[in-house]
Amino acid sequence: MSPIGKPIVDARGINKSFNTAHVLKNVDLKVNAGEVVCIVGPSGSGKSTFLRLINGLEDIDGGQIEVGETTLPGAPKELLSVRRNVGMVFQNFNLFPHLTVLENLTLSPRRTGRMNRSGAENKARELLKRVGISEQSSKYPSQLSGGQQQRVAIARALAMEPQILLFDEPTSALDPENVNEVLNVMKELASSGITMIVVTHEMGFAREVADRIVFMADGQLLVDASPSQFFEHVEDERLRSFLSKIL
Amino acid sequence: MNSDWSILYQYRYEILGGLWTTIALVGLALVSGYIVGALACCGKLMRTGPLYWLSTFYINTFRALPETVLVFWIYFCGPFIFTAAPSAWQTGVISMSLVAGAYFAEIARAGIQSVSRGQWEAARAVGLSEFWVWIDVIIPQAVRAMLPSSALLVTQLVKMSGLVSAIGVTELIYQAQTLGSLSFRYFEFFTAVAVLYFILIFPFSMASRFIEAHMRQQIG
Repeated sequence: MSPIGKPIVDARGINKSFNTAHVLKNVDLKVNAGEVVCIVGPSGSGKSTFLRLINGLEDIDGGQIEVGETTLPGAPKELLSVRRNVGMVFQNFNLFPHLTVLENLTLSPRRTGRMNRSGAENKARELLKRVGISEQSSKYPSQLSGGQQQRVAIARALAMEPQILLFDEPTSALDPENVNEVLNVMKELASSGITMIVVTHEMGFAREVADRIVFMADGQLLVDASPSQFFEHVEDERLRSFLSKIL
Repeated sequence: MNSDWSILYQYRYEILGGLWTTIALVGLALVSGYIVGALACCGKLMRTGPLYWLSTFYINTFRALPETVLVFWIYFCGPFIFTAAPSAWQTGVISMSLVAGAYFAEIARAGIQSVSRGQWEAARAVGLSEFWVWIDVIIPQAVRAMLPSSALLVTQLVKMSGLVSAIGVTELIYQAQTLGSLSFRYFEFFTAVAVLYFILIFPFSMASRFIEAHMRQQIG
């Protein structure tokens, strides 16, 4: 996608432990601007934890991650600048239940002084239209279906105009009939050229949309390949066993 | 039994004075209790260090002590500690504030901890600084969660305020007792006081229940 220049996310030698559990072991990953990278693997393999290190929701124990111009671990100020450049979509949506859909989107742009009220609201309406829920802007999250909530969450992540979007199993908490509406929004985003790192179990989505698929197991990054290689040519034993279980 | 309700009208100023004293006691205890309680809650949320231990000690002590003991203790033992003896009114305000603070600290802590981890993460992930995470996301949700038990705290304090009649604060019960003994019309006065307490307390317990039902609906 962007063959020249340095990667927009560059993680080197990442280690992370929770108490005695060593959940990430020397993970390296480079992501170029505009790339869509899907991270797959069995549960407990550390993929969500890795994602959460990229915007500082967890502290890095060893190694470092360059995100855009900033390096983590860093001071609180650097953490803020990373987070304002990185949008995140959670498995459980985590919309702010006491705010309307529109306020969910405008909160951060206004508080961080990035936009004034009318600017933030215009941007928010535009994003809601893009994810197909412009009718719901004055509702509260609890009045929406899971799929709608997740699309609002995607719009909220976009409201800060980030360069990078992180998705942490964005369809895992959805009812089956709501999965596709979210995946379709994500496909549209992927084709728009924003950098995306997606932890997912949706292999069809990964195959269709990803530029690269990364396989993690036991805290290690074992395979990093294009979708066609990933599904057909990789000999890694654990990947084969994983694929045979879920495909 | 012949009752004479006109006596209530005759002593209306004394009764209303008692009602006002009760309301003032509870109001003052609530305001200072919220301040003390918020501080103790902050201490408690630190999870370690001297302020944590101080807050924990305070909260546990004043929730465990019978209010009656506290009132008498401050009134009769206060002179040994403070340079001047606290008046009955001061004793009432101090003891009720301390109790209100201890209960409110726990209400506030529970409210803050009821906000899910995902809310903290989402607020941070959209790039809010810690200050605005608290102001925009955590506190509004915590306050909502605190409303039902805060309303119940008001009812508890109204009931507790009756205890300070024992040291001579001229609130409702004290007035009823005094007027009753003067006129031998206990029935009329205590019935009136019961009705007044009910009018004071009932709206708050209803509000508590209403808010709780409403919240359950909203959260789904």
